[in-house]
Amino acid sequence: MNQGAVLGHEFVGVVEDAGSRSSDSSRGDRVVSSFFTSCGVCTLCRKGWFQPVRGQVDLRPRRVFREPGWCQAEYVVVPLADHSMELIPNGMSDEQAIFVGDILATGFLRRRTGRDQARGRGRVVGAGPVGLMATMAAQALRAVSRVRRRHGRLAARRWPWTSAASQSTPSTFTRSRRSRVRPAGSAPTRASSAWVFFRGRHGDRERPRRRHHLDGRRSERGDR
Amino acid sequence: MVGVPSAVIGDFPYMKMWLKSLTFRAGWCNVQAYMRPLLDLIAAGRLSPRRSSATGLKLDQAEEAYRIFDAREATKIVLTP
Repeated sequence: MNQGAVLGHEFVGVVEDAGSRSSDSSRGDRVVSSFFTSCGVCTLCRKGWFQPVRGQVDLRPRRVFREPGWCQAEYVVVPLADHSMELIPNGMSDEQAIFVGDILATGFLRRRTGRDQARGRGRVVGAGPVGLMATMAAQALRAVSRVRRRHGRLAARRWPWTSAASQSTPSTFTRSRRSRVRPAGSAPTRASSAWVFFRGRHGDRERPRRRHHLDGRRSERGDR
Repeated sequence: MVGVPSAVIGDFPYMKMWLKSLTFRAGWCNVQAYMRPLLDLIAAGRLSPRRSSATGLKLDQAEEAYRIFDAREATKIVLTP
């Protein structure tokens, strides 16, 4: 990494100016961006499986985040913006929306890929940011039935990512008799190593419907 | 496997996986496809990612923010201009 390099690849912002070929965004729009750009016209993109444009796949940070990265700055240029950004709904705070562009989507990916889905179970190893997002996504989809910390003491704590609304309703945690974690206590400020087990019918129910139904939405938009 | 591991995966146990017929998959996240449905989930109150992040630091305090992040004292830090 070079001295003076601008870091970061997760951001929200207000559109200052839009290029002539950007039809989806205009000045003043509040947007969140994906951490990579995709062309939107290749075979994979048309199938709804968006991949970084060629040249971005090199895993050196410099290349990966070349566009639209370097975002911890006052201004960022987002290439291929129509396929990289989403409007933030009115009333949603920047802090809520920002993780959609990378780690929340990455956590969500766990629910959509992998053979674990066939059995409706999976495992998150490590409670770092992506691990927390994966657990949150699974919880939002009502897939978590058992959460256990393998190392250290079991912590009964309020899960920091659940909204007040979902905590007031019976969660999967409290419904499960085998659950050893109750939503109580304070939010952790420190990421700790944890093993999170998913088990439940949700994954099984979800699978037969349409495997890539979420992907399809974006695909339709891309074909427009 | 999703996400970029923060620790280097050394000594990848290929032989063990082979003996147990394990499948290992990894890949980029399809962010563009998930952003809209995730924003919908947040708007509906079913997700609240904000809660796992600290905020209040300014862009010119980024160095301090990286120190905090590196020491694992915060899960995520949102910088504001």
